[in-house]
Amino acid sequence: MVRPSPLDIYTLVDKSNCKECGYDTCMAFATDLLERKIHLEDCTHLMKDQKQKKNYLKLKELITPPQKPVQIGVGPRKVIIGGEEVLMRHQLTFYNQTGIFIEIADTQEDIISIIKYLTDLKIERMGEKLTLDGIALRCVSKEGEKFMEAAKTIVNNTDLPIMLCCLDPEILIKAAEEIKDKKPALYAATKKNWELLGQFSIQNNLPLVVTSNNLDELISLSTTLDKLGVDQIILDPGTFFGQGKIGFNYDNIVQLRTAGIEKNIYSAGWPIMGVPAAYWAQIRKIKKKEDLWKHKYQEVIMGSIMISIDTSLIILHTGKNKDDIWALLALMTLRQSIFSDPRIYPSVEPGLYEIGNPDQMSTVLVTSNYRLTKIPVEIDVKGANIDSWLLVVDSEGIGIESAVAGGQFSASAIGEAVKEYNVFEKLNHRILIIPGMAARLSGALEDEADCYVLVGPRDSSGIKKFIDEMWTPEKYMKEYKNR
Amino acid sequence: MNEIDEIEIENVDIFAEYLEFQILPTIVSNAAQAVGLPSAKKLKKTEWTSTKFNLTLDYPGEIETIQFMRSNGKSSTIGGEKAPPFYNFLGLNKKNPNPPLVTYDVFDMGDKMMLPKPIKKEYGDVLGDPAEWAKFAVKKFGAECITFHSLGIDPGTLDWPISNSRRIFEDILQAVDVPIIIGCSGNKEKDVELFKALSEVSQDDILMLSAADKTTWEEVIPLAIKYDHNCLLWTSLDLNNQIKMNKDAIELGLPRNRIVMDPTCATLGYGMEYSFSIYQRMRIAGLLGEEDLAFPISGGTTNAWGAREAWMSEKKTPDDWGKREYRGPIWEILNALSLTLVGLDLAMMFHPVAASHIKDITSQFFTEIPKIIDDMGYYNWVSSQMKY
Repeated sequence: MVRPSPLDIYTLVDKSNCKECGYDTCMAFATDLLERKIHLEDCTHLMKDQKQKKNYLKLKELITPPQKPVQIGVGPRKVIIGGEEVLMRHQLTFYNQTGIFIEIADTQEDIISIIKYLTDLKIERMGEKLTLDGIALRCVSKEGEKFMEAAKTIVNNTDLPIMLCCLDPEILIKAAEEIKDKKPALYAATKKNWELLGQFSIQNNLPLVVTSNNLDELISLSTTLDKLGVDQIILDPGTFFGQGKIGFNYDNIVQLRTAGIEKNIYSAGWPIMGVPAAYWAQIRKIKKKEDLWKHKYQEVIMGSIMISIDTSLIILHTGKNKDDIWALLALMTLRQSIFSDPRIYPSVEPGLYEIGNPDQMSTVLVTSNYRLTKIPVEIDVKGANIDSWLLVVDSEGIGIESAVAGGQFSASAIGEAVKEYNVFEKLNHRILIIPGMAARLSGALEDEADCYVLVGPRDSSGIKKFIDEMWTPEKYMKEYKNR
Repeated sequence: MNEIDEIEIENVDIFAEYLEFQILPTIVSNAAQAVGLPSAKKLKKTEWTSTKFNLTLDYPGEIETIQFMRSNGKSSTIGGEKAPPFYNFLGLNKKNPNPPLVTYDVFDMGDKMMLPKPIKKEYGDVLGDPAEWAKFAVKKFGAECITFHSLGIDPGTLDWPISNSRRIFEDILQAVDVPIIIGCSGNKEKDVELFKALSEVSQDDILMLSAADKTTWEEVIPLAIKYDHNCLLWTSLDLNNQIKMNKDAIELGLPRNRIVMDPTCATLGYGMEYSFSIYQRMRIAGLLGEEDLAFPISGGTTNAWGAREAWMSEKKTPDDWGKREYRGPIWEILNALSLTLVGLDLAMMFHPVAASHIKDITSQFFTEIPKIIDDMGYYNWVSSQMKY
């Protein structure tokens, strides 16, 4: 797809600069519209003025990404999946990260406490809060009443989006009818039941998963339902385990994404989902309890492959249990990484930063100007309630370990920064604390910057302990003067 | 009409030239909901439309094939791809010929350095004896390649003489018959000496010098040429610098089939995405015909252990992250696996569980993949009891 420019959009709005959308100019509106910071519908003129209707429709087509976005759920935790413009993140950015849903059976005991745990689950990393996106309710009871009650229990106890999963369309519809104002996704339309579920989806404005492990059939389903009028489709090509099956899953997802996003094939241009949880329905009995982790690894690995190739939504089994938090930590960190905006440069501005209220006797911690080094150091020091200076050295945006080896984080680079930011003029001492990974620079740095160098911990998590135990500036200054 | 809740018009004729009703959209939708109207969408009938899924992709380029060879032992091959990893759907003639190679790290000062506990536990006593360590990795874990890192020669650590590394290296060559990658310390002067000594004693083999960088390349690359080894060209997360170094290496006379690239492997959670995108750009460019980037990629996925999420004991983690024995290996697996999906050909790995998983998973992409399979009980995931 050729990405439209703000100018392409600008020519289709009325250029009145009316400010009703909150922007000073129509050009500013156009620019942020492309970045998805505002909706087309926020342009009041375009919406009200009948004469502009043609332009509205043109614009709508222009800004709809080749992989159409689909919303599940309502309210603050609603999730938008798909909607990608590019195959590879470096070509622009991915806009909507893989939605992570956790499955729950309608026969699950203690269902409320699990729902609460999943709703509140939060991992803080790099100043961001990583959370789950939804619950996939599975119809294990095969009873309409039971499934519906479980669905109601979920919506009464969480605002997380829901995917209702049942192979019997009657049971599925009955439950969906009950919670339709929460905009659940429906799983799933097949070659057998597409008409019934398609019409229900249209009438109630609900997203509908279509599923088949045969791409021809899957695309036929998507084409047929589109003709019927369904405009919120999610594609499920199936998730298989066993020899050769990883490749099968991978091939299918890659082909669908490529066809939808790069080749503009309309019927493939929908969000794609995978079900790593299906592992547990495809294995035979696990003989040794102590091998359970190996099986969990298989599921997590499938999930990680799916996240790496921008699959729009995955359903997990492992993670429901508190002991399995390691699995979510790993997958959510991978997701945070893949879906970070590649347009944000890896380096931050070098300089002398203040953490808390440092004074003349406070520590000076030296670090690199790699964004993902500076941020955790800052968070760790702040979290430990330490007042300190943070000297961020220009290491060309490279992390400490690589930059020490590659020469970007060197005694002379630190020395220059000390001079440039007048570090010692703000202090009553001449002590620098360098990262443990840069220990080998200490000798050269003492000469270069005429100072006393203290080698800190290898990981910033150890800074608090280090300062508590080691920070005796008077002693170091005496040593410095006696040299 | 702000105050009006309801308008009812019955049997009225209106004659007007221009008549405009302005009604807030919410009123309409509320009204529609109140009477249970099926919104504005009309239901229509339609027929099943059979559609064929079609996708053709063309990658004219090919990645260089690089061989590692022990003269009296085993060899390994990487590269040779004609398609992005692992696009099997493009057909057998485009299928990638070689799965990623996993090389196991061995350090000269293994018992004198800080190592994460889960790794110490796996290797135990052999950490103090690099030759035994290498043997253990090959025998116990099926290592097909070993990387020997001489860290102790750095004046900043133990300042061991080069002769020490040479002795250990010769022991390793005796102990195992798989290819060895020669890793260095980070001290420029001594690294060049190291490469000279070790490439000389292994000149009958085709190994790899790891690595030439922006300060040492002019000295290291000629050694690779002279003793006929592969050479790893290391740059710091910068595509243009990598292109430049590749070109410089070729200009110095390094054959194309002796070049492996390392644009830096960042840690999962600490910038892996930069490596991910650079790998992907390099690989796609290479496959589209950019010859200066059509080389295999190597990455030190051992770096995963630099993440506190991987090494930190559960007693010390700031939040509940679960057991380290699960966290550690999965961190290295995800770091490596994600990168193999964008072009990593040679993964330098540490934890044997992580290494064996990478070998196992990536090899699964190379078994025969069925075009169509039956549903294999897939839909049982919806209705089955999941016991574990």
